[in-house]
Amino acid sequence: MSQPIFSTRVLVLMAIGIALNMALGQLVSLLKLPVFLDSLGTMLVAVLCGPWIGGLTGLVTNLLWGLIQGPTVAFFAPVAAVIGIVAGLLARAGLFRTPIGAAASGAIIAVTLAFIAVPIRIYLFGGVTGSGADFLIAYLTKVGQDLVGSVIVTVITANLADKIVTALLVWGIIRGLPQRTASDWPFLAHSRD
Amino acid sequence: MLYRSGVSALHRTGPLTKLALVLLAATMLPIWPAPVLLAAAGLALAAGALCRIGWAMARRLAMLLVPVGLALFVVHGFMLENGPARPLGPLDYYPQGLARALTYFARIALLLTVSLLMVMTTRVNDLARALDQKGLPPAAAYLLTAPLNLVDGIADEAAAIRDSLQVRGLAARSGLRARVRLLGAMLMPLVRGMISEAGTRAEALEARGFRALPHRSLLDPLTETPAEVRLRMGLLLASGAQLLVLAL
Repeated sequence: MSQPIFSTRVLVLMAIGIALNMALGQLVSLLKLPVFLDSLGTMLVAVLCGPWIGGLTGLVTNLLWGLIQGPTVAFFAPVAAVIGIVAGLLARAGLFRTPIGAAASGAIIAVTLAFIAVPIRIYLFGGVTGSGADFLIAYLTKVGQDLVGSVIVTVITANLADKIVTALLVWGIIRGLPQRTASDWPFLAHSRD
Repeated sequence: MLYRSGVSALHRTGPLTKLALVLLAATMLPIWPAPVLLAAAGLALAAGALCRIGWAMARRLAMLLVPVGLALFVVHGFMLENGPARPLGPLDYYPQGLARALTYFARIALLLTVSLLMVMTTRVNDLARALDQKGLPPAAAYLLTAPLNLVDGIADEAAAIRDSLQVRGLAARSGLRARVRLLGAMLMPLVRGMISEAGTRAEALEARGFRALPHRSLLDPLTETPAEVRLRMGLLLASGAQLLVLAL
């Protein structure tokens, strides 16, 4: 019988990552923190298992979330996939070895996801989504910025702090993993000794 | 959860047929003008009302569409320069911008209405069963259902860790720095524990023969009438035709 692409252990970790993405939003609102942390599970899986598995974790998170919370989230599933893929590639490049590298990874992810989020936001939502960030878009368009430019600035601004905090938390989590657990995830060798 | 239980025809329709309906709506967006899209959204809402989920759907739609609609009409109608402006009291508005806002609004309205119609009449477990039945590997169904079972456990465990940290002096009502510390102190043991458990959970699944065979047979398979299969094929063909029109 052929070996499955994902081992059962990887599959279980993906399920845990998806559940973390969904559950941590509640935790953050409980602490009244100005971040979402809805991609912590995705980044974590990407750093432990690699870019493609991380990307799939992000994609399934948003599709499943769309089924239970509201379809709007599902439209942004490609963005969640890109977060996982980019996090995995940055982990492979060794950026999750240090806190500075992890923070830089968060910033790179925030900028990269804009390339996918902006076309979806503009084509489907006309650049706005009915959130508080629309005020920034309205302001930027009024001071002369075009719609695409305004949406890019808004998406990056809204995500920068969140993705940097998320990446730093992932760095902290993997750094403190017991060696026995760490040895279960060969891809983690790119991010810690 | 958005699912509303019921016994309507739409509740009994298979999840894959409803997914084909969502696909049809998605392929309509780039082709049809705003009035057609809004009429189709109205039809979907009427279908929801017939399935006795009309009020719940309307409430959810209002929650999602009112802020987006307002933002669209303000940004595109009054702020972005779009063709010649016309005065409206002390303000100028752009008729072309308003028309564009209406198109965006109609697209969102149709996609949201049809998606809600599917989501509110379909259990996630039924979708997983339907995918199983179509021969998708057990892993796909596992990824759809397992996270939902894990979410409550994570929330409970996070609450327990928070309580124990608060007993030791870390309070959620402190300043931002203290709350960030509390977040870190809550997350680290919680997530590390879950990663460590992944191996045990995987062994338990394998011990039960999970993925022993490439496909699972279901004890209670979903039944489909020939009419439903034909309907699904029709929806898929119509979606394909719209994509063809778009490509030409």
